[in-house]
Amino acid sequence: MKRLAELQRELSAALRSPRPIWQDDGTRALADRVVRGQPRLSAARQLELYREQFFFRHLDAVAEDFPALVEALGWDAFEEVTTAYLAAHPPTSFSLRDLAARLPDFLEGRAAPAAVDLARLEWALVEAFDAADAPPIDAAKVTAAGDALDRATITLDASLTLLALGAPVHEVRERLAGGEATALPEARPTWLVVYRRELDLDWREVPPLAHAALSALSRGLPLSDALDEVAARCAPDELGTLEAEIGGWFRQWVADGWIRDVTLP
Amino acid sequence: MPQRVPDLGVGVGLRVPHYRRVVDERPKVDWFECISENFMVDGGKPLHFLDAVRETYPVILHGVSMNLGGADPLDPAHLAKLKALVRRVEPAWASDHLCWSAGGGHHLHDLLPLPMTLEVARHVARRVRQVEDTLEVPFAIENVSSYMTFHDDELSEWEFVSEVVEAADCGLLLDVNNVFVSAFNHGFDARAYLDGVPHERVFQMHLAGHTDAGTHLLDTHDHPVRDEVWELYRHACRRVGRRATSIERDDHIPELEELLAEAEIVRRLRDEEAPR
Ligand SMILES: [Fe+2]
Repeated sequence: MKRLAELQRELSAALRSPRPIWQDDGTRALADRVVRGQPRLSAARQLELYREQFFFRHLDAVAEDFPALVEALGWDAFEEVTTAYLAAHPPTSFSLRDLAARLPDFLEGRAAPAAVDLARLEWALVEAFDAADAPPIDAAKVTAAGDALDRATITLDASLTLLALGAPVHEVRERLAGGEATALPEARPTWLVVYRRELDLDWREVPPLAHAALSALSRGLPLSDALDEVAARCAPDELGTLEAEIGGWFRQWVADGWIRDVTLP
Repeated sequence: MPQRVPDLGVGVGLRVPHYRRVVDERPKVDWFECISENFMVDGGKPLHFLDAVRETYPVILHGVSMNLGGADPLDPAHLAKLKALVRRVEPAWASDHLCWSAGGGHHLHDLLPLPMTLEVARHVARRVRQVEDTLEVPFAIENVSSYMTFHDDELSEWEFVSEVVEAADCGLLLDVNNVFVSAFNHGFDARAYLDGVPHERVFQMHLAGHTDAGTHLLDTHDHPVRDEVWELYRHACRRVGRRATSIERDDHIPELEELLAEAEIVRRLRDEEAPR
């Protein structure tokens, strides 16, 4: 099947080219060599129809997952940067689901920082949408752990993404849902948890210390080590806050399904 | 002898905007067709609704990206995910397209036509057998529509389709709209196509709407089924017989009622042209 492999390799490259076939002598020559032209559709036009479809389809797929980014950038800027993204990172999976996994990183330096943040938020929502289901944690297990809980490692829900953002870009998603204008927000450090509650996507701003604690837990640190790590980086006036709040935060995380399991040593 | 599959009746493609209503209202339709790849995920809404729909209806798994006509090796991870889904859903059969969709390691997520030669037909048939052996359920391949043909072509499309399904010993998912679209684009006789494929291998038929772009027809799945395609479906029912048939709509997805109304037309035409 060498002939078929060669044909598909050549066509695959031609169909992923961001340049129209009229501007690309190589692709025109390929079309004439392999495609049979007919009176209504020349060989080049036949190939060009499929090339256009490649970009329509993939731009559509990305736009569907990044509605707020499309609004914030405007379609033309979105199309330009996403076309460049598709050329730099052509699809390598049979599924369209992971198509834009590297888009937020790609946008760094190519779009405003708040637009990059917005892309990170929208990608986190894609991840949360179909993350693995998990049963609620057994509350009795947490109670029974007593003081041993300090040394337990914590399993966070698979849908959770912790985002440290330079602007409250979740407000853009909220305004978009309400049908309002969606300009990018002013810079303001924002700590966001993106997650799925049952089947529905949600997000919540959390205090920076809570974010730091969740982040340490997500790296597999036992509870007390995680808190030590956060405490070590606290300003002196924050230590009291951490001690006063952590118990309540933990109960809230359990209640919200952010904590799915505790593993005692 | 081809495998036998049940006549499931009249189905509709299950699409996201209809999940909730299908589960809550259990509309009068015999079965649903699900795009396999949409459910190869870890959890959340897709699998929740798939399981809920499956409680009431037979579900057929219809894939779009197995790359059966590709020269790259079949993707073992993709096959494993499809197999897990087949175990979960227990479909009467599964299907994918007679086309290629990836080359040189890159996915195009399109249903691209193949050079219609005996050599390519045998190549595809070997891969279909590999899929059948893995899945352990009856498997059908669907004829695609196209607006491109190759200098290498040496068979008519229906000869090519017939070669593949016979050599693979698999089923045919006969997309009547695709036959109509390709007949226009390539100037062949749609009825000769329907007459020329092995009728006993047809597991299922597809109906969908297309767009007239003037110089060519585009298989857009964003319109109701056109009158000319209903006529062609009548012909298919007379020649092929009474087969499970589903309506596909992938863009500009209307209210569920509109698809159910089209499903009722299918039911009536089947009864008129291929009575029990
Ligand atoms: Fe189809």
